[in-house]
Amino acid sequence: MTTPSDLPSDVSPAVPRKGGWVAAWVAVGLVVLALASWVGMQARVLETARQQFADDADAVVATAEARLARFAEVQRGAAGLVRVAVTVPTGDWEAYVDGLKLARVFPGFSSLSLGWRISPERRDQLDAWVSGAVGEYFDIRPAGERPVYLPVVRVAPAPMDLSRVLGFDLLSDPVRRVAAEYAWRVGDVALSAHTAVRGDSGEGEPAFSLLMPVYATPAPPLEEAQREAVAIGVISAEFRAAEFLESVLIGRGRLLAVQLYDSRDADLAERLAVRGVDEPSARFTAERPLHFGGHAWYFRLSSTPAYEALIPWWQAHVVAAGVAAVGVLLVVLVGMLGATRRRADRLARHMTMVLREKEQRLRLALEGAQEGWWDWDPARGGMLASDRALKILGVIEHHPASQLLAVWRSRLHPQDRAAVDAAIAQHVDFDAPLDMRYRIVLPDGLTRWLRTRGKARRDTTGAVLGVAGFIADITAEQLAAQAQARLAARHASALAALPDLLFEFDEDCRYVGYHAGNERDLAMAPEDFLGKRSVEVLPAGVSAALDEACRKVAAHGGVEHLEYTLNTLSGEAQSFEGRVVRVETGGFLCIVRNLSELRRAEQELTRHRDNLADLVAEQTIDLLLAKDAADRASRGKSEFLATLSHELRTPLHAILGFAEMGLKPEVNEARRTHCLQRIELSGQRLLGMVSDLLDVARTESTRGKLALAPVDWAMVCRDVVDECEALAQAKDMHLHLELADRLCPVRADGLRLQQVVMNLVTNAIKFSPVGTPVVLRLAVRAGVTLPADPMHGEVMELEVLDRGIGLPDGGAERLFEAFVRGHPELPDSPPGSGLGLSICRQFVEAFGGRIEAANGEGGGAVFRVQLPCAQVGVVAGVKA
Amino acid sequence: MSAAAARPRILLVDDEAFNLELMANALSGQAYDVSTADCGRSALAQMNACPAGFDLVVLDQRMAPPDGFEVLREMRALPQQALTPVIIQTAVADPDTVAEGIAAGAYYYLTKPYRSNSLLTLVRAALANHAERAQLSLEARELRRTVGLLDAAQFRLRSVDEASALAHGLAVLCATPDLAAIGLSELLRNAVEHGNLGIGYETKAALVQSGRWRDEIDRRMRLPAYRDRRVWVEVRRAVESISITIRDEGEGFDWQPFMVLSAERATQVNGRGISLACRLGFLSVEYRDGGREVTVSCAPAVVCPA
Repeated sequence: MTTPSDLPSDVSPAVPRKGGWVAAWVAVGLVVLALASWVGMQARVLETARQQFADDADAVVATAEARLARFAEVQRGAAGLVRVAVTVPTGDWEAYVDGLKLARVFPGFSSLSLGWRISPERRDQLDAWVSGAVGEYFDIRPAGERPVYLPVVRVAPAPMDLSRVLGFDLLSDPVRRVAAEYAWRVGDVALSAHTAVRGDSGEGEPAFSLLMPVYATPAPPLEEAQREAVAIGVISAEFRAAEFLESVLIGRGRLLAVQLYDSRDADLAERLAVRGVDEPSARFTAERPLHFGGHAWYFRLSSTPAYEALIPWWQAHVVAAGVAAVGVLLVVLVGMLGATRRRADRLARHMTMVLREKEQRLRLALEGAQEGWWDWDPARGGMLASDRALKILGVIEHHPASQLLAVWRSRLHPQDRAAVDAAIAQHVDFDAPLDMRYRIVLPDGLTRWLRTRGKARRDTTGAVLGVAGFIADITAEQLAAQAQARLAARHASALAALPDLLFEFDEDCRYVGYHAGNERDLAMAPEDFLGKRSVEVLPAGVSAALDEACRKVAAHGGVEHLEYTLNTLSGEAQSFEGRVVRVETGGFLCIVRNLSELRRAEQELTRHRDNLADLVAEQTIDLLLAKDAADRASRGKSEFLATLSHELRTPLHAILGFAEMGLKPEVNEARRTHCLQRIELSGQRLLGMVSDLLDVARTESTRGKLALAPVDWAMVCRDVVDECEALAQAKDMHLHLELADRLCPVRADGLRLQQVVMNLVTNAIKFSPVGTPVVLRLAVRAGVTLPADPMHGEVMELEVLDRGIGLPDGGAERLFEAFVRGHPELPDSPPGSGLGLSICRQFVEAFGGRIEAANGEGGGAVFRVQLPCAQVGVVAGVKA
Repeated sequence: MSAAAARPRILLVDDEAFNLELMANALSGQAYDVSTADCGRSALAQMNACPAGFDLVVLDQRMAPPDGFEVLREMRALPQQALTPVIIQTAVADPDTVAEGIAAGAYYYLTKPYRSNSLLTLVRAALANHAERAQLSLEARELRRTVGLLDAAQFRLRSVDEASALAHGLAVLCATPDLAAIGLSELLRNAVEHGNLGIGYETKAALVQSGRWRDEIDRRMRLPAYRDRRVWVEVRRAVESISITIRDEGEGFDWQPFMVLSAERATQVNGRGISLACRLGFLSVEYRDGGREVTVSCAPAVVCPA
């Protein structure tokens, strides 16, 4: 696969800044454009206004000319009248003029008068003509000598001082004379120069006159000379210039400032009329000549603020605004267009990116999947394949496209060839999906698993044009699948051999599967729990524990243990231990082991262990007791030795001391004998002590070797009594042996027992006063328990009673300790070894018996020896 | 001792009649008044009955109760017998027993069997010692107030007598002056005899046995080798203890074996000084400088403000 060539790189990121500049430039351009159009428009408006002003000025002049022309017509009519009537009566003239209403139609009109041309010879006729007008009196008559006179003979409307007007020779006024002569000469109206009309105030107002010639002929002669000849007078009209000027300003002309001059230059003296102020700041000014009736007027016109206010400046504003608006609109439009274009660009970029990503992803997917593409296209000469496809197929060298298919076919594993052909045929013929897994054998001999998927291209008739698709090396996958299959088989086998229960749960703790090594371990039939939640089928406590375990392993992983007891199909309650683990692909696995058997074994073991513990405890107690006894014995032994040393040294010291004393040369015989006696006594004491010690030593060493046998204790007592008889008699004492009727033999060593009895008897004799009796009493006692004979309950008891000094205070028990002498202060007898009773106790205890001492009821001491009976039997007692 | 010229009164206590007889016989020819008691009770009764008290008591350690030590403890409670020297006869003198006896105030021991001469010698020594000690104590007690003011001092001595005198003088500084006097006396005499004069333990034992000990001391003190040797004693009083340093000019010795009371030396009058000092009254005993210097410390005596 080849990647498409890279798209143009991203649009420069400076676009927004450029846009800003553009916007700025556009804004400036807009402003300039608006300004330019505004200025241009203003110029145009000004030009138009100027034109308008010129037109207005022309209109003023034209109006004035038209007015004058029309008035000339009026005068022509009057002239006609005068020619016809020659001498028009004054009243008729006035009526005629009134009828014309000239003042109203022609503002500024002052009066219309008739001047009559008379020669000097006819001066006398003047009165006749005039008197008709003013009666009999008038003041003014043509004066001077001139060839012709032209006095005013009629005037209407009549002024106040008519007398001062009638008879006024018009030719006497140079201005009027020029005009009159011009009129006569050209046969038409003539305009006079600057005149004055005496107003009501008596002051002269600027005025002008229009003079119309009156000829004697109906039509003025063609010849100029003749015209003068036939001229009979003039019709003169007076106008007040100011009012006339005012009247000609109509329409917009009313807003103009106008000055009317009689001459070409603006000579104030020649100024006929003024209207408005001639402001130097006026925007427009114009001068217009008016040629009329052989005279020229000059109009000087100027604009006024009022007039200028009419200039349509707003047009410029409107245009500027319009231009700006249009510009803005344009900019907005362009901006929108730009934005749209950018959006389009972005979209295009985005789509390109998405496309590229997708392309990339596809490429990665193909790479990830280790797939390559191929395309079999006969029209293009055979098989095309990507590099990876070629690599998968093991094609290293370059092959022409036409051969590639053959190469592929040649590498197919022989066993798979038929299947591949069949699959391709299926696809081509029936359009079955083309998805093949097959092996190929590479040139180096390796066998690889491949997967090929593809689709045929067809024309409209369904004929195959080509086939394209993907190819992948799935060897690893295939091997893994095989391994997986083996593993699964192994698992299945292992599971089958597993004695435990195994339950599989989904995420909701719902049973989805199980395995039971022994179906009887289940609490119910599988169909009763599969698909259900544990809470629905198990007791509340068990299901809660199970749910809790699932929750824990879901949260923390690991393995959770739980133990429970359930009634099973076997009909018995069984103990189970469950281990819950989370399955990575979801759900949980609970492995359950039947613990009942284990429990039983455990209990058995515990029982054994407890027994063992008891046993050990018992033995430990025994050992402790034994150790205690040993300790006591050891302590006793060292104490015994210390005491022995002291006890042995005491008689030894006496012997040595008396020997030293007796050996002194100065002692007499009696003293020496005394010493010798002392030495002998001490020696005997030492001897007794040594023999007692030997006894003790023998007892200790022969304790296990005592010859224990049934002994007739009564016989022993009799022997002792016989033996001690002599000793007793020395103190004048009697020994009494009292034997009970019922006796039994005791288990003892006869010789030792005799020694014990002897010891007791000699002690009794020793510590009793002269002449007192010593009693030996032998009987069977019931209900006494001895350590060595706990079961029997019957013992033999020997009591030795004397009437002696009794026991020392509190010394009953100490008496039996070694070297303790009950009454060491006793005189006259060798001090005892202090070992006798100690030896007695050792013997008695060795026989399993007991020895004790007490004070007798009637004074004296009682020594009591109890021994277990050897067997039940009666020995006939013989009283001593 | 109120009547030094009078015959010393001696009480012999033993439950063995023969032994009493022997002891009485041994002391019979001497200028002693001898009484006997055959048991502890009888002995105490006699002491109670005698206001003047006995000058010496010989006790058998092992008797039917009360035994020798019990009698000793009880008689110490009697004012007239509080300081009486006591000789204990015993069959076995193990160190613990001896230490117990010394703590109870019995400094002299006789191990049975012994010769009558030994008893006599010991009786004489005890009486003489006691007389001397009593005299020194008496003198020291008079010094008590003065010495009690002592803060630090240095002493120099040369002879055994000076040693005894100084020991008793310094002992009054200690809380238990009688025990301290014995301990100090032992150490000071050691410094003179064994340190400066170079008399070993065995030599001394032999000299004492033969009665030539005193002569030998005098002889050696005249010898040029030993003539100029001194013992230096330095006393320092601190708030809680008094330390006394004794230094001699001898060759030193191995003090370790003498620190413990061994069985063979327990009953010997000499050779047990150091261990006695260790056990009696001192808070610490510390040897330095190869045995030439020893420092002991003891609790100070409570000084009466008056």
